[in-house]
Amino acid sequence: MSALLLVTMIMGTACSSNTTNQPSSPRASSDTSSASPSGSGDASEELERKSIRVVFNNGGRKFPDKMDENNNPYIDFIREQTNLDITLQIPPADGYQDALNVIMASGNLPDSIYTFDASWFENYVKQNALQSLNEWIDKYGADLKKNIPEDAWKTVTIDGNIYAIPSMNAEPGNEIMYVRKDWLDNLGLQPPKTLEEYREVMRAFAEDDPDGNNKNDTFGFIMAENLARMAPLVGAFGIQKGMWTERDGQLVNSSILPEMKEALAFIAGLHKDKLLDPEWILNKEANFSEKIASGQAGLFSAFWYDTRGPILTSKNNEPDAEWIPLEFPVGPEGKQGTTGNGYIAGYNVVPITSKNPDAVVRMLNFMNGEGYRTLLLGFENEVWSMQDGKIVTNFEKHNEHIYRQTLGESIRPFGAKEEKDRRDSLGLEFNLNDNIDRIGKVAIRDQYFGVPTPGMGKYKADLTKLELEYFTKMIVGQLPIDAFDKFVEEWKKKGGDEITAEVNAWYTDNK
Amino acid sequence: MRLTKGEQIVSALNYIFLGLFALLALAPFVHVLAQSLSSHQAITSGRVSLWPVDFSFEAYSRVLSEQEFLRSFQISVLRTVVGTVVNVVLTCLLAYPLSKAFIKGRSVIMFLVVFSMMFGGGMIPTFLIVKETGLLNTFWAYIIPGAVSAFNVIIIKNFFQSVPAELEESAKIDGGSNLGILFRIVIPLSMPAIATITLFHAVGHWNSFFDTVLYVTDRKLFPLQVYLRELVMFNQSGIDNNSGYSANLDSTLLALESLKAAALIASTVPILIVYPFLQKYFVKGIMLGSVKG
Amino acid sequence: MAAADFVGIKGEDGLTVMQGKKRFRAIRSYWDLYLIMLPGILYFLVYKYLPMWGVVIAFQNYSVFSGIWGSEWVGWLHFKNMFMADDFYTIFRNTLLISIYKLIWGFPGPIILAIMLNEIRHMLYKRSIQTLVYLPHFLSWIILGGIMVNVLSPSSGIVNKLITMLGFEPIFFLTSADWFRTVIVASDIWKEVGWGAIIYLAAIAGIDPKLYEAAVVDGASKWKQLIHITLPSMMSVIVILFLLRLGHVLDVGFEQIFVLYNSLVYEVGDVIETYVYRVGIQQAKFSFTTAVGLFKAVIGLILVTLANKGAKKLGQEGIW
Repeated sequence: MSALLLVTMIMGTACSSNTTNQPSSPRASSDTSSASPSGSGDASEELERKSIRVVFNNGGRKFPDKMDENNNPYIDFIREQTNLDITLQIPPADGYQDALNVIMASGNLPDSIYTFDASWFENYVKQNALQSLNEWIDKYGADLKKNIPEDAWKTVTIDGNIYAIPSMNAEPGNEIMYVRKDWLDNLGLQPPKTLEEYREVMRAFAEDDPDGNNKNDTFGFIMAENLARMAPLVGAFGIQKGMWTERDGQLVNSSILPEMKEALAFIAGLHKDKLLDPEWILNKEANFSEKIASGQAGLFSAFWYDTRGPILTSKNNEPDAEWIPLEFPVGPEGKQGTTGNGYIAGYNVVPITSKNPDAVVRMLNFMNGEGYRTLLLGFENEVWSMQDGKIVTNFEKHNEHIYRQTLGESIRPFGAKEEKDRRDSLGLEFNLNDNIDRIGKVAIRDQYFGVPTPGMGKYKADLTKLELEYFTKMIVGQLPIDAFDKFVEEWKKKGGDEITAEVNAWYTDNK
Repeated sequence: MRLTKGEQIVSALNYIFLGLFALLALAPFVHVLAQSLSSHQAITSGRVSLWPVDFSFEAYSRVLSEQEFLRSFQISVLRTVVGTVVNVVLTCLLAYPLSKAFIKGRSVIMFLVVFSMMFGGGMIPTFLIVKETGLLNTFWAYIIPGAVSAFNVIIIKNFFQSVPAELEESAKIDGGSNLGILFRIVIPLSMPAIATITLFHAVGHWNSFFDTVLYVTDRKLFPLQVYLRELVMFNQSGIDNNSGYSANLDSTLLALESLKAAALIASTVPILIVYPFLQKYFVKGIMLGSVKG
Repeated sequence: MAAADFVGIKGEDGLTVMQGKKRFRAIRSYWDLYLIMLPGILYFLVYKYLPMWGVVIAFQNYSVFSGIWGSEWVGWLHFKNMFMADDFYTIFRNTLLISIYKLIWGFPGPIILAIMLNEIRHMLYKRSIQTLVYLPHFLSWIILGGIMVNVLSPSSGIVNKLITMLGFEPIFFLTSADWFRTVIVASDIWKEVGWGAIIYLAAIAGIDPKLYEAAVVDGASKWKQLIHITLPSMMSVIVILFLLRLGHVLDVGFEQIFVLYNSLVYEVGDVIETYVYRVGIQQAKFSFTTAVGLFKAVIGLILVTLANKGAKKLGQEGIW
């Protein structure tokens, strides 16, 4: 319909409230820039100087004194290298997505916005609020094309138009089992391998006083609210909750498979025998960490960086505490697994009102390519230096310069080797890369990686709640395990079947 | 004062009950205060309840030297002062004529005010008006969209009505103007009510954060509550890590529990200080009562 | 633009209504009083009444890019979706129940507290108590939520330690469907009762001490003074606050529930606001959110209107 009219209307509002000096005729200016030689990196100085406004998620990081998001050496570094005048805007990390909705509604739109929410992205594509970036990526995005895999581009391409430049997930997954070796030794146990051995360790930790204080004050296993921190247990049955997986050439949702029922039955058994922390339903980050740090739990599914978090605190509290990573539990049919991350961590989109999509692509291309190492690790010889072929980090500087991560993680390349260096530089004793490697070997990935379907937009929130409610009640015994069949029926009826059909339509096209 | 035996017992029970309730109200505050003076380790291992463990002021010195804390502190103070003044002045100016029966159209305006309390357009339509009136991303987005509270207009109007008419009439005979009477007679006599709504508004401004989320994206305008939310609440419920911050790796060590507690205390104390200043007006109200009769 | 036009028209209307000579004289001698009302009236028109017109987006598929004029009209679709949603009745019931409990138990609280405080003669004690009881109001639910989980914990919480000491089984306050609403209501009262008492204290402060002096001369007991002087003098404030409270009977306090609820108590704890947040705000469904908000507002309006009629029948002043 009158899309053109709409665009001009919006442009009108954007112009009237925009105070920065921008070229009055956007078409003309981009024509001139395309006339200049482009492609390889060294052309950047010759590219036209432009002003852009960019929204990133700062994740609550702090700036050192006298600095802020627009006044620090890292943003200056990008500005100089790209010949762009970049103004950063960082809404509060808490409620970030709400703030994005407000920005989109405000009529004074920036040139680029970072979002981590796929349905947000899909929603605004549907409203014709974002512009296609194909032309500019071809022209200025050589590094982006190289560093972002084909599959990832697919998830942001709709009818041949690329509507976002994705930032990739650096890690294959998050969860890995950790155990108190000193507790195992106290009880004369071996590190468990099979699910049954895990169960025996849990029983012993809960009942046999592993800390030797003659008090019944330890749990066998600990989980957290919203069914978090149980991925390796479910993985032993070969699936992961909520993920799409192939069965007989069709994609099905793992949450309604018989394997899920078996996994729930296993965990419900733990609860029934009082091996689980009875308050696991209420555990949030803070009290979850607290229970580990204070020696109430000696076996849990850790995030790969928990070795710098609660595990470290536990060691500081009790010098005897010795934590070791475990093999992922092997299920009855010899399977192992943990939740795999999606490819994509976030999306950089350009609102349709922006006259500088070229400049946005230039900036992102640099941050993703040549600039990435510096944004991730910090300036060489200031934050880190090479000694004997290894990166040595100055931790004081590292923490002071931590705000740089905002820039790095907003447009992360896939599988950059700097990520590994960075994790090692944080301290080899934390075992970070080993954790990542172990996770990578068994991570179960979602086999659907298209954009969120309309059905997901409509039903997903309710289905997630339904699942959470049923599964929690089944685990704590308020519902029998056979209620699973009723859940499956309800799940299908309440939109699950519709989503399954959409997902399979995509699967047929993209197999 | 002579009290019967029964009254004495009731009175004693009253003292005791209120004392206990006050302690109950105080407990969480003391808990946070104790955390702010303890070490991060002591807190995460659950050793801090009502008394600091590993006592130190370090958290405070870090919070108070934080640039962003100080800036948002300034914004909050400015917002509270300007906002409360605007609230109270506009409320009084609207309420006084409404308290006079001879003002034409009074009931229509009164209905307008009352109805707005019971029915509203809701968040999104209000947002659109704020946008149309050009307040987005300005300091005035904190002040103007909430400039008058219907509820407080009613309270003040009722109070103005209870000011004895004879006092106003005699002032009028002495040649006082309409506004002169308002400022020299009516408002001073209504200080208890005005102190009350001042406190309501001041606390409202100090604690408000949602309008920032809605209307303001410029960090330079962020008030203390937004700063606090970023510092304190962030991470709290992110245990399943679905919010997209896979790089929590760095923040886990930085957002220390004691730091959060200290920021919380440091930003609650200023508004607590306001209260005793206003409280004296409540006491004055009792004395003014004798003047009224 | 549109906003200014609208206000302009209203303003002129206001003047034409007030024509007529007699009225004009009255207006002339009090012109300054009319003038000072203007900013307030203007405020209400622009920021309260224009948005009411904006609820039309509840009948649209509102898109921020098309605006109110360009969005597609869908009639009652969002309302139909709302009523068709399976959970809606559960949510509506929870909202009403929690709200009514809060009203029954929570509304008298501040009144009683104010009266009790007023009986304290020792000024320093009174002021200290007063200062302490409003402290919880300043702590946000997110912080209090964390503290409550600790305090109510079945294994280590102080409350359950007391309960087990008395020989009972520990109670899972936050994960038990039987206890959840009680916890919500009680903690809300605890947090807000001191703050709520402030307005009643101001009302009591406004009572003429001579009334009490006369009562003491007549030999009235404390109890009689309370029944015959204090309460009647507070009555108009109490009625007004009660009526206003009814208008918000469907607002149960999003933050509190959001912080404390979990999957075991959805059945009893999920309310309209958490529902709207889940499906409306998180997914930027502006029209749907506005529709639910409109539904809530209409219910509130009906309740207040009825209650106001009732209050007038009982001889109270009412809100209008």
